Amino acid sequence: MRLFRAGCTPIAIALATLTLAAAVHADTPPSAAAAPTPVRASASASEARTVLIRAREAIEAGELEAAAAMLEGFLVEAGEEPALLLTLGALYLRMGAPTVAESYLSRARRLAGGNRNIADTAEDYLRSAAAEASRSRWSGFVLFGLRYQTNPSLSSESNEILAGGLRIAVPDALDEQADNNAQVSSGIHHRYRLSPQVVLASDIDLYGALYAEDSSLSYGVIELTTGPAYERPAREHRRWRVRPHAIGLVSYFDDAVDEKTLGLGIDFGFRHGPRSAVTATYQFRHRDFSDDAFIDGAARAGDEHRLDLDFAHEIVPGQVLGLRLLGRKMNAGRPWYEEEQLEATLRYLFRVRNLLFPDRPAMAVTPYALWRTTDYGGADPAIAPNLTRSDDEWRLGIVGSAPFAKDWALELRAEQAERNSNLPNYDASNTLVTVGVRRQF
Amino acid sequence: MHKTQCRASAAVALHASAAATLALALMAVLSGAAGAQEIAGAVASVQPQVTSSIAGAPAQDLARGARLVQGQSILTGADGRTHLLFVDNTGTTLGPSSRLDITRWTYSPVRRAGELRLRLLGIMQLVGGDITEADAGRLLVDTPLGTVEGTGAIILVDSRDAAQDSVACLIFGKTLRGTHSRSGARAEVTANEQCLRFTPDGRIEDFPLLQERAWLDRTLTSLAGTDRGPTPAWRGLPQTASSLPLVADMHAVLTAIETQNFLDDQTVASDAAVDSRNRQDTLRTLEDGDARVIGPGVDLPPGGECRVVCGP
Repeated sequence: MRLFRAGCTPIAIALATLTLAAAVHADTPPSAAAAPTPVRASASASEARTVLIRAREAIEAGELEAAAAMLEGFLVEAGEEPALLLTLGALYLRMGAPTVAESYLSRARRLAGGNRNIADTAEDYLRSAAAEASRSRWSGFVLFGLRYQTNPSLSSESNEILAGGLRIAVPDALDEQADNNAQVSSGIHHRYRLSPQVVLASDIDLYGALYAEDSSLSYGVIELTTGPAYERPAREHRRWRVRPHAIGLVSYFDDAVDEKTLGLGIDFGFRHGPRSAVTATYQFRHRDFSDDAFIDGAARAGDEHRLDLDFAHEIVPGQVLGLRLLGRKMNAGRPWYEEEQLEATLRYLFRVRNLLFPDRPAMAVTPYALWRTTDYGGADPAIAPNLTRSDDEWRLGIVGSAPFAKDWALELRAEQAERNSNLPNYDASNTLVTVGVRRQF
Repeated sequence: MHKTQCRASAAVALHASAAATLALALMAVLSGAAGAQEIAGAVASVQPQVTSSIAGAPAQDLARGARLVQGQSILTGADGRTHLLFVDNTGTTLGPSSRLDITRWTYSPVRRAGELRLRLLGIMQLVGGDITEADAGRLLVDTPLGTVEGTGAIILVDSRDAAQDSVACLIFGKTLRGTHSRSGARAEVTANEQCLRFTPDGRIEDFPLLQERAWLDRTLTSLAGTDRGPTPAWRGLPQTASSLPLVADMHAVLTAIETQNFLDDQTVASDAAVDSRNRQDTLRTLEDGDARVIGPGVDLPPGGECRVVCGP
């Protein structure tokens, strides 16, 4: 009997106790086991709490249907309780039933009254549900920030560098110089449902940094990817999706086009159970560096191959561990810009009480660590004809996002970057602090 | 945690009398002492105006913990609703002004297989248990216009009478099949939130639930009951989102990670450009004679190409 398997002993004991207690009713006709008068259910707070705990356990165990059964059953007793509706809405969203989720979440938001936590959380989930349910839907974010960096130009920390085969003292003009800049970044997503299983998924990513000082480069980039995503229906936790896509990218330095890229890619996402997912992406990019760029001797044009593996595992609800492994190989027309790069990024996302705005939903905090190693294709005669550059880099950082109003969050980021190179020219470190506001839409 | 374990523990917490009845039923089935009236399940919760009858006997009010057997009919009044829990862990919420007949119930807890056949007039939401999961199991719901059969499913059914359309939706699950009782027409949906509509003229149409939002809202609201304000059950519970089982959607997490990856990649791209800029500035300094040469570093190869900025 499965109830008596390991791990279920307390349940079995409880059931046995209850069975004895119920024995006194054993002779009661099935249709009238209790009082003849209509019974108004009145579950206690402890029952409600237990149901939530059990439902959470079921969710964590991946038994989403079991959780739904518990919560649906309790809904009959509790009525349209906002917290219960919110939980059910979030659960159905996760189960891949966004229209049903919307129905519950809309009612949770409407009935939340003055409880802004419930209302805001319902609103967040509603946005996701609407995006999932609608045939055509835009979503995304835009972030405006101010960034302080101790060494935005990545000037060498060494006292001497190589130039044209000579060792020279670092000129004053190339000394480290702190700077501030304004930046904007945005991710815009559009989903157009072609059929129950196929969605045309398009993403536009924008990033721009505007520096006040001439010593730093203002930089802008826009990238578009678009392609049909086929996803198996969410009837099981094991789900996969595949998305071939086209890529277009343009970047600018100051007022000149630096790079135009076209490419093709394919990503394959696999969700192993309710809490783990992996996405593998291969992309081929043809990168064409513009002659208009002011940098003499910079990369010309070449092909890039990228393989990107992203693992994400939800340890408990609200806590996600992510690992990204990235390999790149780029030919750029000049050996010293040809790169072979390996990169690993570890992220840990968790939520904590919103210390900055206590009456708002929890803060999302993501500490991360990035390691990158880059080998270049050949020596740069203008720097050191007999030495081929090779770099190792570490970045440690943390990002915090604190909601302060509906759809708005304060973003804080701090990062320390260290790069070690066999060429002193590229030994550099940088500390950055960013403060910004993010708007979801 | 196994589904049965999850549900059993929830049942213990939520509806002790229903759980006890189910435990009795399970023990009776295992011991072979069930007799003619095998217990199919129990009433887990009930709102007023719910009655029950068996084999034409006068209807009696139904209470939480009451047992369910084959041949039993459950009737709800205009404000009544009830949640029934079957031995195989199938959970059914019956909405107001509805009638549900348990026309067939067989179940082997050892094989986790059996058959549950219901006849419905009204609205019902059903979360399938073992019977809908097992290959050997069958879940059938008869409506005035036809029969639906669900596999591994959460389904929503609305069937009033033979003069009106009947609708059955697969909320979550593997398949929902429909057979029209008048024409014999068949249809099947296999994706979440896809529905079957039985029309009085003998057709079965499939359509996405998305097209019937208003009906969905009405139906789910009537199953849950109207807003009764904070119930005793929830008093004393922290009404904050962080106290709820947050079920972060992995897709959203992955989207956030992808965005972060893009930003990281742009950092790399801009770093590379900054390196190029430094390289150029370094050489220009050398060319202008502003650099203080410390000594030879590495030699240019004889006749080596000067690719960047070279001195005169």
